[in-house]
Amino acid sequence: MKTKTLLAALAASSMLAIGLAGHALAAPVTLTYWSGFTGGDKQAYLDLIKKFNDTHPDIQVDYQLQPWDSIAQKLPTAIISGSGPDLATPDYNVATIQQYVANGLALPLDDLIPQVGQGVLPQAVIDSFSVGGKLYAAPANYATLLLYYNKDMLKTGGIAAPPKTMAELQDYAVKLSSGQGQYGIALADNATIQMWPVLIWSDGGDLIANKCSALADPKTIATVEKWSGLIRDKKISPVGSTGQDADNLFAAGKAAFEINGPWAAGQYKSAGVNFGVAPVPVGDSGKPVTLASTVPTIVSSKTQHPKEAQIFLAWWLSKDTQVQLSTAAAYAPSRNDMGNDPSITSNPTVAAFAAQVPYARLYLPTEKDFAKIDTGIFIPAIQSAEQNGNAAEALKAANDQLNQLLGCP
Amino acid sequence: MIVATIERPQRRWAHSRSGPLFLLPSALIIATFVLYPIAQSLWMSLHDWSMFQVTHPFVGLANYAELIRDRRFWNALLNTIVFTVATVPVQVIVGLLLAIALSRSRWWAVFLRSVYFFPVISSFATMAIVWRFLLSADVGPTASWLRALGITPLDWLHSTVWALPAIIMVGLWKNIGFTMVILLAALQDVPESLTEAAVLDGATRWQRFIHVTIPSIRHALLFTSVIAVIASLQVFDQVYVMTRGGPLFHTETLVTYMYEQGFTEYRSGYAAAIAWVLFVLIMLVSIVQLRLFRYADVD
Amino acid sequence: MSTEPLPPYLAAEQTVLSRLLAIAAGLLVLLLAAFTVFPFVWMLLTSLRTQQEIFSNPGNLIPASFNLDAYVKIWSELPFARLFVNSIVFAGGATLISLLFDSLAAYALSRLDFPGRTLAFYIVLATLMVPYQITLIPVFQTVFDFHWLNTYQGLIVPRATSAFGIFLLRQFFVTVPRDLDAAARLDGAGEFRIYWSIMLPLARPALATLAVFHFMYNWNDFLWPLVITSSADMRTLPAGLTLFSGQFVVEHAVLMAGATISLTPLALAFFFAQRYFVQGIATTGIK
Repeated sequence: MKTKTLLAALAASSMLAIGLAGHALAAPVTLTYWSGFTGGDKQAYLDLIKKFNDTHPDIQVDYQLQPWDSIAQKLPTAIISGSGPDLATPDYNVATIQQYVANGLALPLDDLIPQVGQGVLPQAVIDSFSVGGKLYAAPANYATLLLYYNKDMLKTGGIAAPPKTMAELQDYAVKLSSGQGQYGIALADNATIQMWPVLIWSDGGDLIANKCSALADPKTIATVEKWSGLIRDKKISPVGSTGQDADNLFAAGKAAFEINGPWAAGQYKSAGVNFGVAPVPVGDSGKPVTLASTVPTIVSSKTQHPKEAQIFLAWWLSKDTQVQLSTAAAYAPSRNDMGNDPSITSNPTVAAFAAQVPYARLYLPTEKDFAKIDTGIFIPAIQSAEQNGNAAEALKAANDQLNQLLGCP
Repeated sequence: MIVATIERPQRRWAHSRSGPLFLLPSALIIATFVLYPIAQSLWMSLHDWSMFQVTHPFVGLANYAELIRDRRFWNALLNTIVFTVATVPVQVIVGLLLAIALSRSRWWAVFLRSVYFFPVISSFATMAIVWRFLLSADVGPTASWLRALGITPLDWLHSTVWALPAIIMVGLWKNIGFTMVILLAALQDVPESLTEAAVLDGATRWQRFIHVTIPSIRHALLFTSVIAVIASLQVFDQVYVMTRGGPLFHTETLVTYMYEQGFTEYRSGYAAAIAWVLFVLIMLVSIVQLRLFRYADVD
Repeated sequence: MSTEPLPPYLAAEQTVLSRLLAIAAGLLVLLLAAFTVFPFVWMLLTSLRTQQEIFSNPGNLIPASFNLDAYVKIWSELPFARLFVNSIVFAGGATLISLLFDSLAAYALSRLDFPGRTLAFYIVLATLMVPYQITLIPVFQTVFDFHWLNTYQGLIVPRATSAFGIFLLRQFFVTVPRDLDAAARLDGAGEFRIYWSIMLPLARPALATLAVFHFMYNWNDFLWPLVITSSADMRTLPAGLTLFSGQFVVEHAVLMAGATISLTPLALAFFFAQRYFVQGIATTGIK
């Protein structure tokens, strides 16, 4: 027993020595990173990667941007065959990592928390990125949704301040809809950052509660009935919008409200909309709630450089990096301990999004059948309510489907 | 008389051993990058195959049995068939008419040919975004003009009734130029002597069209219609960009459904089963087409 | 638009009714052409507008001021020359090799007799019928096994022949009268010489058509380069342009500018190739 320990200690120290010697001589380690952050935020990420490479001569990140679709197509095969990257953002839907974890394609990040600090990452993130008590991904960003409102339209409609409650929001939305191409709210239901779950949560309903469907919960049904009724009867929003449609509508000054993330601010500014942001109004539950969105970065289980990959992720989650990402792209910091950081509080937009962190929930964060629940069950139920006015019936049917999938009675 | 000489093929095959040699480069590439993956997909369709796993349990025909019970599959099949039936005849007939109208080598015909061919060379991924603006009831130029005239524009892509017709229209816009150009090239090869002879025989325009032009370009007609059917049954791009199969699955096609199963639900085995059903469907339709054109007796 | 001078043997048919019909047909053709070209006009004009103008004044087609910001942005953010060269190498290389291989195969399938010829033709046809999405991952795997990811050969070789091209050329080759090559064969010409010096020159219109299709198809295809390459310096132009549309935010002017830029070489290629396949009966040599 003793000799064994001694041997192990010897081995460890000699490995350390070799490691240190190798460190001084060897060429820098290159980490390839497949990332899906195309579009408006692209530059903020590129700048950060450059900063990391400039400050870490021994670790260089080869940042390979590609559309989300390409990543979805080839990442699993690439990791299994060994042609994949060291780091990757598998999907903007957090639940997708469940598949990578369950099949051993993602490395547990045991070194990360010690470097970042206990209790620093938001609990919602820890919960959804952990399986069996181990953390398998780090947040590449963290966003919350706010209510965007068109100041000019509110003024014309004689509305002094953005709504504080969902009842007010409904009231204002009806008032500001003309039925002729002007809408109170741009409410997207597909190919979008989810907006409907926010409405449902705020009234105390849910999609899944206690591991079974809550779609037929009376509160869920009441919320969907109310909003889809207003859409059908009062034309407060077009039917069946994608996220892009809704954004275009708000950018064109044809919708007074939209629930959206920080990434939208830039395009509304360049479209010349006079807009403000406010917290999502409080619904029947009486508690503030909004949606959180975070993109996971995983480390491939086939990587040759797990240590360096985690050094990079720890750097990414450091305060300095988070401040830079927040100021450049208005994201909330991916940490709990920066709420009072002057560089966050001094920027009103960033501060507004960051202030929502305690109330923010992720959409279906850990469902391994995410795609089926999202595009196969939830979205069709909402669309059916909007198109056919049968909210209760559609949700009950969706409820049965969902329970069957979840193995519930 | 003229027709008879065209219909009777001259069988003078070169008996040659070099045939396989000519085929070799293409055969190697097709075998490696097409046939082998196709065979692999058949194998996948018999397994519970996930892209995440190294081992894949064999399930026999279970994926196919699931298809039979899958209402989304039947809906996608129906949409695909409606799309194809509405698209192919229009594409071939209008393409032919345009080819005839623009077959002269005057400057305006050359110019208009370029115009009609433009959608073919454009990338659908971007043009579908343009079309989303043009078909929008709220943003975009057409909506704004119609509203100025006091007309409420139709919200094509969000309507369960009009989304599929819009997808069909955009598909035609994109592909008619393709048919036109192939048929234009074929029309160049219609011997002028035949037309001249027919006129001297007193044939009317219509008779010349039916008895001289059509038989002379039948190979190209067969080609364009077979390709149009195959492409229509595989319709994907415009649906994926414009509606993602919505609203309420009213524009979901076999390939978009297959794509979703394969790359968002990661059920590669099930996606492969859909692909094979589609493959067999296309094969059956193509065989019927080749028969209708009496393919065998024209070579 | 003046009426075309007709060959003398057709002049007798010019009645008033047929003239009226011709005018109506002409108007219809023009109207359809306007419908066809309008999305491109909108695309070009939108690329010259600011985001504000696109949304605040959608009915006004002509930009208030011609604004080149979108083009400047693309130019400054993309390694433009590199992407352009990659696109030319990939689309041009695949087109040239494919024209050669397709025509060789089509010649065999339309002119030579050998066991399995019909079967080979049906196999070629059958490969057209499988949706490419299902073969994407197996092909990715094969290209990786060959160590060809992120290389030109990985991009080009799988595209170096196409069932579509073989089918198209075969359909044209079977219309070439057999007397031409039969005579050469009697003179003792070898098959390759008949293919090279008789068939290919005769098939010029079909080859030009196919060249345009191959080039256009490969040029526009961003999915394939994105699957086979992941490093930025192997990207093609359309693949590079996908980086401007994000998950949630689309910069419309930039997107339209990108589409315009990537369409221009194709439009030019088509314009010049057109001369070959639609220049008229007199030059094709087949009478």
